Amino acid sequence: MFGRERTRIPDEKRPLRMAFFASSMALVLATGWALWDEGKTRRPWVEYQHQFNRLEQQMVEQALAAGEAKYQSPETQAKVRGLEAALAKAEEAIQGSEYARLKAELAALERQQADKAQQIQFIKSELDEQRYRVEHAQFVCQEQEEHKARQAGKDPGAPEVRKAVEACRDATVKSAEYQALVAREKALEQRIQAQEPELARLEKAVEEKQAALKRLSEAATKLRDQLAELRAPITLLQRRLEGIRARAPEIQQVVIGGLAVNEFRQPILTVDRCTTCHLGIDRVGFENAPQPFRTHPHREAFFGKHPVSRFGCTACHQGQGSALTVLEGHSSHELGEKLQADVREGLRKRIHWERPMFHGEMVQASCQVCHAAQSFVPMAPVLSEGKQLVAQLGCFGCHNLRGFEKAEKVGPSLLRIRSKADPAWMVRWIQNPRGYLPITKMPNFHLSEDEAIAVAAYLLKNSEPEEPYPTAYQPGSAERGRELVSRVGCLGCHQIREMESLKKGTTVLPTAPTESGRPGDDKEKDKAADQAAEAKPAAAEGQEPKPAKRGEVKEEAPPAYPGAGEVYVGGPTFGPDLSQMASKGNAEWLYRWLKDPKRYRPKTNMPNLRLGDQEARDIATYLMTLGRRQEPPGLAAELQQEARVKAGEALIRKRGCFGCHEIKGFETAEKIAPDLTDFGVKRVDRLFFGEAVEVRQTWEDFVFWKLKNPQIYQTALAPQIMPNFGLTEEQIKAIRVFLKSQVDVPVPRAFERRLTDMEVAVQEGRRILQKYNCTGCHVIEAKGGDVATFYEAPQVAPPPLVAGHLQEGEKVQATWLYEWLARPTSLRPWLKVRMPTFPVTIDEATTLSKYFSALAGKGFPYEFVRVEEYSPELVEAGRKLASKDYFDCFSCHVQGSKLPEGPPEGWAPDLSLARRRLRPEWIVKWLRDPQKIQPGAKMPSFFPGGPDDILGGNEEQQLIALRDYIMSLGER
Amino acid sequence: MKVVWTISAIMGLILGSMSLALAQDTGSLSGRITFAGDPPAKKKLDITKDKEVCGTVEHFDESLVVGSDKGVANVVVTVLGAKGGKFASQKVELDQKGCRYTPHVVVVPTTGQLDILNSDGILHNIHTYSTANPSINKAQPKFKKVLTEKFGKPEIIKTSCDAHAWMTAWIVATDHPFVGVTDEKGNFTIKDVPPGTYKVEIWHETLGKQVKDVSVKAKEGAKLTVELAKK
Repeated sequence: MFGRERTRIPDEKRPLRMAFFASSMALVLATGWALWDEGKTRRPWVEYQHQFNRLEQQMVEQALAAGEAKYQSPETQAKVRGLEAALAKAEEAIQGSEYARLKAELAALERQQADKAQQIQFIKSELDEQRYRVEHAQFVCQEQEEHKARQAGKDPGAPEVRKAVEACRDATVKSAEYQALVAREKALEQRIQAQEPELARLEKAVEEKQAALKRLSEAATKLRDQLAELRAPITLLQRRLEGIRARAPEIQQVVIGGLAVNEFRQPILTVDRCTTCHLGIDRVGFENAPQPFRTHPHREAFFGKHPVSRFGCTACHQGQGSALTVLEGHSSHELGEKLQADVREGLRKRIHWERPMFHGEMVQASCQVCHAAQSFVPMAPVLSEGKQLVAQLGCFGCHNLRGFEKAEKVGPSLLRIRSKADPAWMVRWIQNPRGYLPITKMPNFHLSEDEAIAVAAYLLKNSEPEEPYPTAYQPGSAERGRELVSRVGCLGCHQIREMESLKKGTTVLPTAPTESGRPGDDKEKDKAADQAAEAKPAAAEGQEPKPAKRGEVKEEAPPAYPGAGEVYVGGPTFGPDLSQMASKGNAEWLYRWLKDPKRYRPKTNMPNLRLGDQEARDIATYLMTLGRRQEPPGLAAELQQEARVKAGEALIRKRGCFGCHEIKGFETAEKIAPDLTDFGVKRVDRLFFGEAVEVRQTWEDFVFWKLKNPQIYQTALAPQIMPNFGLTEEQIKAIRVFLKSQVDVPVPRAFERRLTDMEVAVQEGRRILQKYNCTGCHVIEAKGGDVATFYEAPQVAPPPLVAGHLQEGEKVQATWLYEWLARPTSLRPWLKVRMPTFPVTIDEATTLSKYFSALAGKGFPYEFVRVEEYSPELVEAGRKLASKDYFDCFSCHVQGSKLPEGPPEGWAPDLSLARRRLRPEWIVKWLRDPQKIQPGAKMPSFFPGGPDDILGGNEEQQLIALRDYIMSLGER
Repeated sequence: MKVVWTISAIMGLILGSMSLALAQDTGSLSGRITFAGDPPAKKKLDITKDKEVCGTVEHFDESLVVGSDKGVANVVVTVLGAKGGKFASQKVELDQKGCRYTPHVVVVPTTGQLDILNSDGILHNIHTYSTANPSINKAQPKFKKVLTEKFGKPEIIKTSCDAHAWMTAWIVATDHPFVGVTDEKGNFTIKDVPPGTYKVEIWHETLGKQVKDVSVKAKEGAKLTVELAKK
């Protein structure tokens, strides 16, 4: 204190050295820190680029070492030495006396040539002078005469002047002087002519010498090139290495124009800087490099049509394109699991990113944006499966979904249910559909027995009576019915367990539970409870539930043929399993249904098998032997109660049964469930997780568990009414990808994948094939045809339509196919299996016809087939060829009413149908080699091996003759 | 060059004398294949097509032909792994007569050819069901008297005629000659088998396949008797 006081200095004089020093140090430090932060902390990508450069350098160095080793290898060295020796020789030749001599000779020749050329040039100029003089001598006359005329005041053009000029000229020409001039001119010309061959010879000699010299020097150049070529890979790598060393860190970015739009739907430019760190993404050779440097796993398949320069990265992967840190760029904690722990932690804390990055198969959701028109996107199998599942399960019955605005209800109409279904069965079915059908789209609503009775009561009460049918059911022969069911084609779409033993091949069926007692058994309840318990994520302490490893990238090889990997639905599980028919239906209804399915339900897909009355009776009788009816006492009375009916109506309204079924009284009811058209971008904080703490709070987990167990988020106040569809995890993931694609992203037309006419035909055709389960019986595009396992030989089973070289569209005329689809007739009436009449519309028949044509690469619409123009000679030759003495076609082929001998199994199609049915060029193709088109066909090949005594043994002519003959058969 | 020639000449001599020795010192294998149990009754087939040609002879089911003393006909006996030997002929015939293949089982060298004759003068077709060789289905109309086919890989191939469903034959394509087929009494003989112990395969179209061990001694005839039963 004292000291201070004693040495007190006025403020203005107080030294501020320390303060200045301290603050300037602080400034220096702050500046240093600012520089460091700017250069290092805020630019983590710089380090990645250095890493990548080191990686690439290593790779190049390795390649360089390998190249060098190869170059140093004895073989290459021997080659090098050989070349070098040759080069030395060649160079020696250039240095040598021969070369010098040639050069000297060339120089001498060139001199000579120049001299000669000059000589000629001189003579030529002399010649020019002479020529001038000759011409001038004539011209002088004109000048003189015209001058005279002008001076005399006459017209220079007058005839007499002309005459005078002519006279003067004649005189000049005749003069000796002129003659001497001409003679000299001639002499000069001759001299030039005499010199010219010499010049030409010299020129040629010069050229020859030059060529010889060039040969010598070229040999050396060529050898040098060869040596350089051996060395080239090394040089190239060295240059690349230099390039890498010279690289300065810089932000890499792709500017994408027109793919994104702003709020006003104006296209804008966006920037993706992902390649700043993902440097190897579009480069070959980094397939096994560590991330972030790895080559894109589908680079070849994707980048061809989706170049990074046009699409960028975030168009598919989402994430923040302009970000330059790992955290901000990826913005998805799912992906974070693969990153370092600290970054992962950072990502976990931030789950509310606007555009979290997609990971694994979820990326496929982005495909939908541009590929919405395609029902199957080959490179996006999971998305495609999801679309397919949504279409089949009919999710759009309760939810609004993009792309399904006009889809029809997927369930059968219940307007006439009373005449079809047994009331007790209905109650059981409503309560637990899978108790009756192991495979069904009908979900489980987890209704109590009382609720099920109520729903059934309403449906039965509100069922219209069927219109009377002309013929009635009478008991038939179950045995005959069984035989018919096994032969006529029912098993293409329906399963019957007891028929499985008739299969020639072995296929294991999913075991169907046997129906036991009334629904709501304790046993059943336990089972349901078990299932519900199973469907809860394991919430172990401190551990995240990991219901599925969906963070893993699914690296599936994309299917090669567009549509080849399409989910195959159908076959014998397409229609309901009939193993327990008696517990569900009644014989009277079955008879009418079999006779005419459309009468009971106009929108049905069940075809009309054109069964006779007795056939239908037999089948109905047989089907009613399967399973047994169970009638719990008192149920009938309960179903009549008005209170039940009322309760049923309320339940139907609440649970939305009318979303899939036509139900009287609900014609105008609105969809009951939330609109999902923007569900893909639904924020996590808007999702209701209820009390399910074990479910991780992410969009992905929410959807997965909701679909796995729709009741999982149920609380006392928030009942969850969505039913359980019993989906597998694979199916759930597929639907989830589809749901992720439910976003409103406007796409500029330039980016939209639009389908060509042909693609539309194929896509629509496939949809219709699926609608009617054509592949249940026929092999089409190498799929289906399962029903053939019930037949002892392929010849008595439904024929394949598109497989290998067999193309229905190439075989039959489009017009015929179109007409035949609408009203099929049996082409092989002797077979037990028959093509039923499907309820196809005109549009559908056209589309199918177009589809087959498109697959075969044939034109559409119709091709005109000219029948009348065939020459009688060829037809006659064809008739002879087909006769018993030659090919004996009718040994097996039917011709109208003329049937071949032997058992019908050995018969072949009616050739009189060919004229309207087959494409003539296909007949030739088929006759040429039937085994190639349909391996194993009974039709033998007759060619090569045609007879010598018809059409002079010309087999091509014979083929044409047979074609023309076959086309001439049948009615006109 | 001279040395090579000399060596190869010596080798040739050695090999030549060896093969000569083999030819002299081979044995044979013969035997009988019998049927276990009661022989099935002969089943007559109904001829439903081309009766004027096919109906001229009686047709019986040939899938299992058992003689009166239980000998099974049409059994193929193959000595596996025997070396050398020569085929009796490179050209083998299969006739279609009365809508029946004769013989029912035909042995064809893989290096040789099969001449399929059409003695019937009606349309037949040769439809083979093979896996190793390409399957064929060729028509043989009336005017085509002979159809020549080759089977390059060893295989027992079922052959049938789609025009006459009852017609069946078996083509045994083989790359060695040690193959025998039993006659209607169930007897077979395989000649010129080099001495040694072999596995012998016994095959019948409906009775299936069996493998037996057999020792063949020089200049002696080995015997093999096998009983086949219905599976």
